[in-house]
Amino acid sequence: MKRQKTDSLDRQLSYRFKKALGDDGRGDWFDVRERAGMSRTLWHWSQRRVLLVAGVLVLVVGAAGASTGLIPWLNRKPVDVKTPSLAPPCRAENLWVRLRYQTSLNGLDGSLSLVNTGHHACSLVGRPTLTLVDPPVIKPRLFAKFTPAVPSEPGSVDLVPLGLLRAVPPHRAAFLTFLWKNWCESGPAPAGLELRLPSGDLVVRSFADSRPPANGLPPLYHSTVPRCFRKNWQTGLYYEGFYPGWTPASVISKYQIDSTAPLRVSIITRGLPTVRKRRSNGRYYTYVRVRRGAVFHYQVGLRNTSKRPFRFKRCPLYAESIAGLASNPPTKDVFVLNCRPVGAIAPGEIAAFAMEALVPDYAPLGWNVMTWNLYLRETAGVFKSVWIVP
Amino acid sequence: MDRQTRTIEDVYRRRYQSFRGALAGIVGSYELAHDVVQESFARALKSRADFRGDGPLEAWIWKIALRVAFEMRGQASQVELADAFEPELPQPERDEELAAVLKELSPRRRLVVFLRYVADLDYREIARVCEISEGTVAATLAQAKAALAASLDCSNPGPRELREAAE
Repeated sequence: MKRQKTDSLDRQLSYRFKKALGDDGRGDWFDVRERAGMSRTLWHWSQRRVLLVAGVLVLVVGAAGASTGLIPWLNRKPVDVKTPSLAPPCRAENLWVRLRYQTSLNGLDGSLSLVNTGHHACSLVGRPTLTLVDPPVIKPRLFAKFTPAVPSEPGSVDLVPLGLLRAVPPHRAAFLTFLWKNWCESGPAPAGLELRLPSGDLVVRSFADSRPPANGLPPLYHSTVPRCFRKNWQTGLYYEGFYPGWTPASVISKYQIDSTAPLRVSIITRGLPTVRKRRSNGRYYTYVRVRRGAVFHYQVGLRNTSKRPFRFKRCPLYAESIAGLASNPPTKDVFVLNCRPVGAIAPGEIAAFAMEALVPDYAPLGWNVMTWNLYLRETAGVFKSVWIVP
Repeated sequence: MDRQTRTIEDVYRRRYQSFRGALAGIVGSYELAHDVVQESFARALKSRADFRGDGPLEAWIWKIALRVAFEMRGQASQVELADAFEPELPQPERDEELAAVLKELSPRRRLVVFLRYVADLDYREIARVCEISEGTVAATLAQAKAALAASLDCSNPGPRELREAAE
């Protein structure tokens, strides 16, 4: 799809509108089909999909008991996490705060984690206030900008929605991030941070010099003062609203999110249509060929890299994307892995899963990338170069 | 499943959030907006044979969605979109400044801004939805941007923008 050239004002307006209007809802395509009077019985499926399912069933029956047969694709999306009821607001005396920061090219990049040390859940909704303090004289020159926390990107799984902040359980943490940049003043720099809860409660002050740090906070030191970017700009403190910093129990009990699972992922290319193309360096490369706007069928292998048989306790999630970066924002599809028929994967064995991915009709022709990631396992992702044809 | 159905499904899967966010701006709540999206795509599926392919499919669905949203607000579906666009969102508590500035724009500029920055449509698609020329879209957008830039503080980026820019 042709896009107009965008300037920085365009990008900022687009960002600001999305932030103001974004939320974390999720669609239901089957509901759309039913409203349109299209039932979801087998008879309404495409012939190709019926054949695929039938073929896969034959394979599964034939390979009953074996862990290495082709596991059929499961069209199941993860379930949204429910938003809890609103708990009483968190109070300063029931919060333990940790400050982390580092200097970067942009300035001083940091985060404040707030752990609920009370016996009951409490809420952290609303707008906190973060200020630079000591000395306070710089206030007229300080540009402080707050932006609300942003719901997860469209298309991504929201296993930790912002709504969880309505009830932060005991011993769980929420956090906010901040960036202090562009210090161009000649006088003494602010040596401390002050955080107030949405209720106005003062939670912490962090100071560099003589006073002891409050609430276990390390002080800010003068060496951390950000460099001067632009002399005629104010110094800026940018911070966002709180984000939940824990994985809800409902997610842990529903999906396998154990990042130590001994699985190595591969995209199985054997048998897939390919195309040979010459690159600018004069060498020829072979790419997997995919068709724009069509469903691409492929397989993913999970190899047990341990010396013991591996069994899924619960089915994990995975994200797949073809030419996802060509859209704005980038898109990916998330499904539940069909792990139930797998049984045990013997050491060194590979369990092969049938996969389906919709190649977007906006995908640019030619070279592109498909990605496949086991959700919450950063090391378990793979990508493959593909060649998109009309 | 025929090709048209698959393409509509693709638009739905990719753009559900955009549709819902933008339509919430018209009907005033995300729950109602979800209903509008579902109904709009259902209508698009039912009348897919009517899509002549003489413009982008997504623009065609947007047009249906805006009509459904207007119906849900109790407005006649024949009313000119560009003359009656009164968004309910963003609510002031989400972005007070933006809500105020948006209210000051004329309905036509508001609609074009909305389709550009919330719905992410390009000029051609906006022209289709509003039934105006691409040149008019460009001119309207330029005027609206000038008004927005003058009223909003767009000089300093936020932390997320800075991070994105640095990546």
